[in-house]
Parts: sequence; structure tokens; C-alpha cells
Amino acid sequence: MHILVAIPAYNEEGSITDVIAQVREHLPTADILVVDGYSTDRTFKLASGAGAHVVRVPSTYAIAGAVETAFLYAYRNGFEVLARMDSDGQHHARDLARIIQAVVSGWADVAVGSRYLESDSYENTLTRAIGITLFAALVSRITGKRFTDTTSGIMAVNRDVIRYVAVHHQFDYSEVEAIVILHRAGFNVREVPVTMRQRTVGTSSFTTVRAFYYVFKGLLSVMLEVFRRVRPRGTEL
Amino acid sequence: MTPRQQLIWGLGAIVLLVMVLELVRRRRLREEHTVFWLLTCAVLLSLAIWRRALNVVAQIVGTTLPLSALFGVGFFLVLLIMLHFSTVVSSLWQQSKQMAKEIGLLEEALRELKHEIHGGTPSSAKGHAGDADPDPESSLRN
Repeated sequence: MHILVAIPAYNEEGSITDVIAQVREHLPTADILVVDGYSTDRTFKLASGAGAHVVRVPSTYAIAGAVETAFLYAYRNGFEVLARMDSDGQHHARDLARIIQAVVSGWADVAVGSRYLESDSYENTLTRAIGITLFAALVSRITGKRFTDTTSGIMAVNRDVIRYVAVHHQFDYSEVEAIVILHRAGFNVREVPVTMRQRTVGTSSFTTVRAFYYVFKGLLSVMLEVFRRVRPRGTEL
Repeated sequence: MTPRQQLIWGLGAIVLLVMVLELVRRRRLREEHTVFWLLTCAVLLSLAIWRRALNVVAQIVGTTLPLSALFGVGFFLVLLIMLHFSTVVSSLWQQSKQMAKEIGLLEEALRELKHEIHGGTPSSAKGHAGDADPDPESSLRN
């Protein structure tokens, strides 16, 4: 099985080497792709040095640019599974291995790691907690399926989803929107419980202003998504 | 509306029209983006010349002053122009993002290829990435 683990990174020199090493340990056969947002620190060098493939896309295009690039890379290079995790060391590579297994076994087309499915040990700031609860409620309502962690950055998808996302160029990727779009397209989107560490090194690119913007953009796009025409899976070619 | 007001509005519309056409002539404005500008000029000019039409518009929007009707129409047209250019900006954003993704993928493919040519497998060759460090002054950097 041809698996690609994509790790979007921006100025994560403190954690990127460890993250890559952990993925290697738990997923020895997977290819690793770091999507670097033109970091101003040594992220690019360290990731290259650790043996990962590195594609650079300006951070102006935020996480959407990085994740969409990973989808294109996976699509064009014939990967059968695309998995994604964060570069800040908060996600466990062994959780990612379980998420990938959920996709490989056919249990889900899209498996999303949820911090809240089993425990709620991960502590968040109030603003984040409100945003996460709001999105979870909204997405559950729209899809008619229970989702607990719609902003999760740890997930895996199969080849059909890779093709679907890679071919839709106009799709401005966001985690929340992706769940709704992929669910409506007919893909089986399911959550897998994961645990998450608190960030130990580096700083989050998520400032308060950005958080509000993220919530605003997410709410608008998800609510309008209901009024958009669905492109069913398999119609992209 | 007094003849003087008509003259000023009419002249204003003509000046705007000439400016738009001149920009197109110099290829500083694409024909595609002139639609709303030309529409605005045409509407303002006709309403400035054709008094009865302006009175009808004033009645429809419920004002006794034809001049405020003209302002209202002009303002609405400007909003349309701004909305139009917002869509242009959004589509430019999508296009530039698409290009950035393609350039990123090409750059990676090129780096792997160079490593292959200089010997060693691409991923192991990444170990000595010193010479692969792309131009730090790259125009893509933010």
C-alpha cells in the first residue's frame, strides 16, 4: 500500500525532525511530504535532511494551500492513501497509524482523528472551545451524523477522495468544510479517537484575530455549502 | 434639475467615459473589466440629458429631488463595480494559489531530479540538502 503522510509546516524547526522520526517509527513504509510555507527558520533544511520530500508553497495561502498541494502531490504520484498530521508535535504518529488503518481496511473513506470522541483531556482556550463546539454542532446538524472534532488536523483519506479533492481546483480547503463537502459527495466520513499533546515548542500560527477569522470564514462557507450543488463522488473526471 | 446641473453631470459622465476608453486604448485596462464602468457612464449620461427619464426614476425611488435620484443611481452603480472587482480579486487569489501549488510541486520535482542526476537516491540524497537550499530571496517568499 502506497501511503503518503503530509505534514504542513511553517517555522517548526523545534519539532519537525521529531515528528518525521516518529512517523518513520510507526509507519516505516510511508512516504513523508512536508509542505513548507517558506519558513523563515530552518524547517526546510531540517525536513530535507530528515529525508522527507519537501514542497514549498507560500504561507500566504495558509493551511488550504498546503493541504491542497498535498492532495495534488498524492494524486499525481499515485498514492493510495493520503494522511495528514500537524508539524508542531501535538499529534501522535501511532494515532495516525490507526487512522490510516481505518481507511486501508475500508471502514471509512475519510477518517478524522477526534480529540473529544472518547476523552476530553485536551485543554483549550475558551475561544477555541466555543469555536470547536459550534462547528461540531453545525456540521453534525448539516450532515445528520455526529461529529465531535471538525477542526482536527489529523486525518487520512483513500484514493477516491484524493482524486475528488485534487481535481476540484476551486475548492478552498478547510477542515470543517472538507467534512461537509466530502460527506455530501457520498464519501463515508468517520471519526477515530485520538489523544493530543499540548504544544511544547514553537508558537501557534493561530492568533486571536486569525481564530475569529477562521470561525467567521468557516461558518459562512459551511452554511452556504448547504445551498451549493453537490458534486457526487466519481464525477470529477 | 437645473440646466447647469445637467451640464455638470453630463460632462462628468463624458470625462469618465473618455478616461475609461483611453485606458483601454493604452492597454492599461482590460476590455473585460470595462463593462460596469461603461454601463455607469451610459446611465449617468442618459439621465443627465434625458430629464423625463430622471423624473421617472425619482418617482420610483420616492424622492422629489431628481438630483438625489441621480446620486442614488450613481452610488448603486459604484457598488456594483466594487462587487465586480471583489470577484476579480477572489478569482486572482484562486489562480495565484493554483500557480503557487504548481510551482511548489515543480520545484520539488526539479530538486529530486537534480539529486538523481548527481547520484544517490532522491530521499537519501536529501541528507546533504545544503546545496538544495533554494534562493532565499525567492519572490515567492512573503
